[in-house]
Formats: sequence, C-alpha cells, structure tokens
Amino acid sequence: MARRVIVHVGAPKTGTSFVQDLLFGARDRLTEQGICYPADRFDAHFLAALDLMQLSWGGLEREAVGAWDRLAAQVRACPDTAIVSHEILATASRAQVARALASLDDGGTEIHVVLSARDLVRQIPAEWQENVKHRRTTSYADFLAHLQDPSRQQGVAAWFWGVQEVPDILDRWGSTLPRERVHLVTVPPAGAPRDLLWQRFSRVLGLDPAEFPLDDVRTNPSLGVAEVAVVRRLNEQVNEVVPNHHYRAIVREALVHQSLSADRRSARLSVPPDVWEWAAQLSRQWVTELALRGYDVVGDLDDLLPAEALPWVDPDAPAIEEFADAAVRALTALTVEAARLRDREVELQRDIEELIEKLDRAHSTPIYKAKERLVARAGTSTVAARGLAVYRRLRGRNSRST
Amino acid sequence: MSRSDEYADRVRAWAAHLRAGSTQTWTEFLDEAADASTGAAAGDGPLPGAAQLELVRRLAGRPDGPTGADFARLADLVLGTAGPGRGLVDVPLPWPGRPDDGHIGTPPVAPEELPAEEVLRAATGTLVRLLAAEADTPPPRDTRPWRPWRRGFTLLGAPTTADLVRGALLDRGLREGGTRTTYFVLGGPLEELMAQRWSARVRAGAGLRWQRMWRIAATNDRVPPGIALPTIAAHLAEEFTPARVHVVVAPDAASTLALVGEVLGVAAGPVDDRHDPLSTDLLRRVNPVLTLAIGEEARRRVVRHAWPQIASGEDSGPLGAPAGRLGWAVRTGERMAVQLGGGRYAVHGDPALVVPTRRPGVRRAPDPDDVLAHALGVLGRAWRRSAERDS
Repeated sequence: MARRVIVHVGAPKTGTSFVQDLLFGARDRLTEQGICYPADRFDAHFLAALDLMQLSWGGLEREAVGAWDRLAAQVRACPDTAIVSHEILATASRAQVARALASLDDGGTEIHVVLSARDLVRQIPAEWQENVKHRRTTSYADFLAHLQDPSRQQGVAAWFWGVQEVPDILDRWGSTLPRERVHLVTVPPAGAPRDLLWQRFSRVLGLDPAEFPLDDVRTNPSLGVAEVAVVRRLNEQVNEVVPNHHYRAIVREALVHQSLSADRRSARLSVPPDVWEWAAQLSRQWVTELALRGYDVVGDLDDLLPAEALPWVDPDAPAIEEFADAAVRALTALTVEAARLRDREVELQRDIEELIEKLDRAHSTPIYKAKERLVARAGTSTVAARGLAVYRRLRGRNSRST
Repeated sequence: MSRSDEYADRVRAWAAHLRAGSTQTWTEFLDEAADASTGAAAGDGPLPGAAQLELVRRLAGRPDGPTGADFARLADLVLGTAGPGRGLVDVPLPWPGRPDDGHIGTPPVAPEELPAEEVLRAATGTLVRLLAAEADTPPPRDTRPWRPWRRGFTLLGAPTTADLVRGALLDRGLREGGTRTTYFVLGGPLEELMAQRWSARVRAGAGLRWQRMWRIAATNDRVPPGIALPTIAAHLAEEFTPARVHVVVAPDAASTLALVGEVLGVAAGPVDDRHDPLSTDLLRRVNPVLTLAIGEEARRRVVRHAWPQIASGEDSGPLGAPAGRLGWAVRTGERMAVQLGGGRYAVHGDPALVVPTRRPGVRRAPDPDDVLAHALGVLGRAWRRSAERDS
C-alpha cells in the first residue's frame, strides 16, 4: 500500500516534460530510495490521463484503454511513495479528480497534489506555439481574442484555461485535501540558474537534487516568431494531405524539434502591450487569491507576475526576410529528411531483393517444381485435385502453399 | 450558511427536482424561490455540472422516455457521469450576488443557454456507459439457411445501399460471395455516396466530421477509395471476367435492388432508403470514448450489433455537400460519369445520376441542435435496453 502519493498535475510548459524524463530515466534509482514512478513506457502517465479524462488524441487513445486503472493499481501496490505526473491532468473536472484521488487512495494514503506554474505572459505564446506544433492554423490574433473572450467558448480557450488557470486547477484538485498537501511550484523568471526549477521540484518530490544530474535531460526549446509563422503556414497546406502519424514524424520531430527549434534566429514570441496589461492584471488577481489560500508555495508567488515586456513582434505579419530565411531552413531540413528516407528506402529495396533471391533458390528444387505442377493440374483435373487432397490429408497440415 | 454552501444546496435541490421529472429551467426554479431544504439530493461529492443538469431536464420532457423511479435512475446516471473530452470545465450555474469581476473558473452559464455541443458531451458520456454494457450481449445469430448452390453476388460501392440490397437478396435465398459470384458496384448521386461512405467510416471507428471528409477529398481531388466507382469497376473487370462486373447507378435503394434483381433473375421487393447523418454525427463523438471504455474490438461489436437498433428512427433526410464544395462535387461527378460510360463492364441505370444537382433546402452539415435532439431518443432507447437486460 502506498503511504504517500504525489500527483503532479501540470501545468503544460512549466518544465513537466523535463521532470517526467528525469523520473522515467531514474526509475531504478528511485525504487532504491523507496519511490515508485510506475511506468513501462515514457508516456504511460499521459495514456492514463487520456483514459481518466476520456480524451481522444489523434488515435493514441486506442493505446490508453484501462490505462488509468492500471496506473492506480501500480500506485496502490507501491510500498512507500509513488509519483504520478502529467500536465494534461490539470484540466480534469471535479468528478474526474474525485475518481482519480479515490482510485489512488488505498485507505489512509497521504495524497499530495503538485502544480507547477509559470507567469501568464510567458504561458500565452508558449501555448499558441504548442498549438501550432499540433497542426493548428489559428492566427495569433484570433488565439489571443479567444483567450480574452469571457465565454471561453471559442477555439481552444476552454482547454487553455482548463490547464493554465492556476487558482481554479488547485481548487479542482485540492479542495478536498489539507492545504499543506497542495503544493504550488513556481517556475523561476527567465535568466534564473538552470537547476533552480529542479531544486524546487526535488523539494516537493522529496528527492536530493544532487543525486539526479540534469545533463541527459532533454529540453524543449521554443520557436521564434518567423519559425512559428512558417510552421503555421505549412499546416494550412498539409493538414488535409498529410496524416497525423506522418505529421508527427516529419513536421513536429524532424522539422520543428530537430531543426527550427534548435536554430532559432528570429525574435522570441511575446504578447502585444494591451495583452500584457490584461495578463498582468489577471496574474495579480491570481497571486492575491493564491496568497489567501494557504497552499505550500515552493518558490515565490511573485514569480507568477510577468517580468518586463519583451519587444512585440507580430507572428501573423513577420518580417519578410526573416520569414523567407526560416522557410528556406525548413525546406533544407525537409530535403535532408527526404534524402535520409530515400536512403532507407534504397536499403530496404536491397533487403527485399536479397530475400526474393533466397526465396527463388528455395523454389528451384525439383520437388518443389513437381508440387507446383500438381497444384496447377488440380485446377483443371479432378484426378489431380483428389491426389492433392489426399497428399494434404496425409501431410496433416491445412496449408495451401504447395 | 456561506454563499457557496447556499449555492450548493440550491443546485442539489434543483437536481432533485429534475430527478423527479421536472422540466423547470434553473432560472424558473430560482424565480419560484423553491425551498432549498426540501428534496435536496444527497451527496457530498462534486456538484453536477450545468451540462449534466440540462441533459436531465431535456430527457424529462420526452414523451417516450422513462418515468418515475426509472427516470430517477437514468437521471442519477447522467448526473454522475463526467463529460468526456475537451470542452468547458465544470460550468457553474448563474447565482445572484456572485461577483462577475475577477471570477476564477469557467464563467457561469444558464443551463438552457449552453451550446448544444456541451450538452452533447454529457450525452456522449452517459451513452458510452450504457453502450459499454452492450459489449457482453452475444450477437444475434444469422438464421438464414446456407444454400451454396444458389447464385452468388458480391456488392461494392455505396455502403448503406449495399447493406440494404444485401439484406433483401439474402432474404430471397441468394448467397453472398462464392467462386462464380457476380460483382455489383453500386452507385448513386455523389453527395449520397459521400454520406454513405461517411456513415461507414464512422461505424468502422473514425471520428471524422462530415465537413472534414469533404475538405480532404476536395484538397486531394479524389473521392474516398470505397466509392471511387470507376476505379473499383475497372479493377474487378481486370481481375475477373468483365461479364461478371455490373455497375448499377440508381437514385435510391429500391431502384438499385430492382436493377440488381434483373441481372440476378430475382424479383425485387420494396426496400426503404436509410439516411443517418444525425446518428453518424453522434457516433463519431461516441467512438473514441467507447474505445477507451471497452477497447476497439468490443466497440466494433457494439456498433455492429446494438447501435443500429439503438440509433434507429432517424427521419432527417439526406445530407448535401458542405457550402463551397458543390462545385468540386459536380466536376468530380461529371468525370466519374464519363469514366463509367467508357468502361469494360455493363452499366445499369444512368451514369449521369452520379453528378450532384442543386437541392435547395437540403442540410449541408449535421446541426448540433438536431444531433442533440436525436441523442435524447438514442439515450432513451439505450436506457430501455439496459433496464430490460437487468430485469
């Protein structure tokens, strides 16, 4: 029975992938310390979250059947501490939260909820960029307008607020828990030491940060204004002609992650001045509200207030030279990828030819040829057909190969 | 008592009122200042959301729905089922005195004013729970005698028409398949072919929207392979004797059956067309959630055996090409008609029928309000089956 369960519920774009990568890679070491991170594949907790919230995700949900109950059973079987982590859990409804917490509790289990949060002014462009990487074509102007619409009924607004509205997420996940078991980890401002966020996570997860070096953990670098504009325009062209699995491999992985993100040359995404004002005002309200709640804050609530505004560059109307440069780099990356795949195709073709040759050699024996003649005759001759049937009965196999 | 406790009590009281069969809206309920302390639904759990409450209210108003204790059990199921997938999170109800400025969480919406999509999410969640129980029901056995000496047929092309014609031919004692089978490629107006193909793809598990299917087809300038009549017919003629391949182009299932019957030498009887855009649009929402609940194989079984009975009774008429796609449909239809006319196979009926015509008033996409209205009947039937199974 797990004595303590730590449920890290998000939010997206707050270093969650980095934490999950680290925990997944260090499962054995964690087990030695009495901490379970129950996962047989890196996205096990993502699949469990899809199952819990009955979310479709481009067909991946087919791999998620029963995933939450399996994860909950593994958690309950942990002898001491168990950690569950996925950022889309942030958007769970109260009913889904109730089901999740009940399934993790084996009677007397101490459940802790952790939410990592970053200031809204950095989260808004990061979420739009993430949307673009997931095939969306919504312009930045429309995206911002949807977020500011109080009804939340346009575009991805319901999803955005579901995973980013810090006080509401903590209320949904934490309203039935003692406040000291609800932990808010704030993401340090830009320019802070690289390991500061990990130190904060470590504290709440009960780990010694020195024991888990950050060298091998992948980072998720962002696209610049021109690069994201190119991907959005590309989406408009390929959405109806390239299926999801190819998009994931070619656009998201080869183009975005391996090329454009790794070589950002244009300005960082930001928000226009009026949106900065609106987001700053909202952030101040959140911080005031959170200060009243008495949660365990790991870091500083002021981290959730936006820093000085970055220069505003509109990704819906990028500088033509920068856009062209990013487009040429994209074309280059995709040409290189096409060449790599072409090499692979040639290699596979060679493998096939070798196999055909081997097969031909196996089929050129006199016995095989005699069998072939018999099968052919069986199509026109009743006697040959009967003979073939007798042969197959004697052989004792229902193969029609010869 | 705090304002939030008072709110919770009033919401539970309205839920209890609805559970008893009331169709009163939240606004009317508040106006009448119903006594919050009477009839409040028990429960310390999360409050039901606006979508679940509105779904119960709409189900209560149906003349063909359950009543009394039976309805209360259905209401409990709805109120206890989270809306699956993406959408507004825990929509609260409007409450006098609640501050609007700086409000945290999803803004309140009067349940009767919720978008149909939100109530459909709640309906989908409930329907999936009822359908999941169907997975254990054994499929009906085909009681038709096996007659291998009878003439064989194989139907391709328009999927719904093929289903209807197949049923009629099997009832007349013919057999499907066999080595000497006669191939029929069934066609009709392109918009109807697309609607039938959409229905078939969704039954096979796709979560595809009607508009998206057209967008993909038009962008690629290619009709889906299952209804590419000239390609299918040409392939069959190449693979087998052209004399065994017949393309049948007719405006409806009855005319198709008559033409197929002529070729096979059997008398055709009446057969009704089937249009199911609302069921299809509902099923595309149900599919991913049902797959998550019971797995893909069980989902296929449920959709094959239980869904047709649960989702029947739709009287919605045909679907037309979405706005802006008719031009492509006409050009494509004309191309198909020419190709069919020049093939090495027999064509029965007029190939020009494939070309869509302008049909004012025909719906261009399933309207979410209509899908929701249909979903209420589907939920009622699924609930009845569940009650019969349990009794």
